[in-house]
Amino acid sequence: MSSPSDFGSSDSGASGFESEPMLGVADWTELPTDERRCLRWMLRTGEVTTLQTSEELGMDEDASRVVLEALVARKLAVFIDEKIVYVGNVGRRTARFKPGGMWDALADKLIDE
Amino acid sequence: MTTVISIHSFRGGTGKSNTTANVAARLTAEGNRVAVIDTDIQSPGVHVIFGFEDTPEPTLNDYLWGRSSIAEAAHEITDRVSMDMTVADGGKLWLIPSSIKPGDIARVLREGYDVGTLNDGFRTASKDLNLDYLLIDTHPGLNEETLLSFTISDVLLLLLRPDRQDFQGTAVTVDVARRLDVPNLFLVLNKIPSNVDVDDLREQMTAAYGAETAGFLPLAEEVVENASGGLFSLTSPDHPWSQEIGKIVARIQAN
Repeated sequence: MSSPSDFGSSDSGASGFESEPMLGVADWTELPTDERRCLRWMLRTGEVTTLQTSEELGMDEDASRVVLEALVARKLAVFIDEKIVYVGNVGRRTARFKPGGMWDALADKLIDE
Repeated sequence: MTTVISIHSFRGGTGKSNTTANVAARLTAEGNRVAVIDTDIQSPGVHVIFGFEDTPEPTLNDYLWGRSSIAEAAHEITDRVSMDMTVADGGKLWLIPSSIKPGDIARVLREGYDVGTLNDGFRTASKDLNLDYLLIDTHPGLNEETLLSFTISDVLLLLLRPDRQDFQGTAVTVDVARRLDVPNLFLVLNKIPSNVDVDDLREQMTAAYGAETAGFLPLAEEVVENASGGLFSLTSPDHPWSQEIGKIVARIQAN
């Protein structure tokens, strides 16, 4: 598994987070099991605390905090307030690359209509 | 807690939207609160099967671009079921459509959208509508949105045809779904010619994928002639195709 420092990030601000997640959705298959389970649950649940996470993952609170912090380090979660609340960071979908002139062919007027 | 069901296939034309619409309709008729969300933003179509020429507005696109809430983009369409089948008490159906307008599709292609917002929409819709089931009609193939829907789903229905390209692509998809720990994965084989031994096929599918096949939908002229013109399993409930839809619904509910 790559380390967080191997990846760059860009700031889109689209989702309100400081920067894009370091891992794409496809990379989630390579996450350690606990992190993947935790991320999956967070995406379904929304904001979570370490206590809730420990109950969901069946581990003590310190261990669940380690899992959450690992997701934060990978920019797949964000720590958002003093209660140690985390939320999954999925990030923005980039627009697809298109060959030059394609938008001319499609006619931008489609968007303006 | 809402049961999230993604309906997916590796390739297009397998019958995802038709299956999604009919499964949703049957779940609704049994008294469940059900929503269908069309996440095939580049080529939306499930609205047609529910009888809409144009997509009701606002759409999922409007929600993703911050122009509406997800609740506003959820249109109650229970009458599309009750016109052909009695709906048990409590049964309701919502459709969150993707826009069919060329400008909206072009905008999505050019600008993209926030996948996190899409995921928030799944969660908010489930809670605000108090859903028993959320059915996600996905774009074919493996991409960010389909992988996201796999990750958050309780049930993944993988559609394929008895076709070598589909068999190979489904193997890839099953592997990815397992890596993402999808709790319940079922195959649905669609457009099966009449001369195929289904029992033999069932054995081959189980051996090849290590997964249960929830339905074997026959290639039926009547379904082809219906041409996405309505909810076939409601208008022809005794047809073998419709009975297989019933088996798929029963398998989903058995979890």
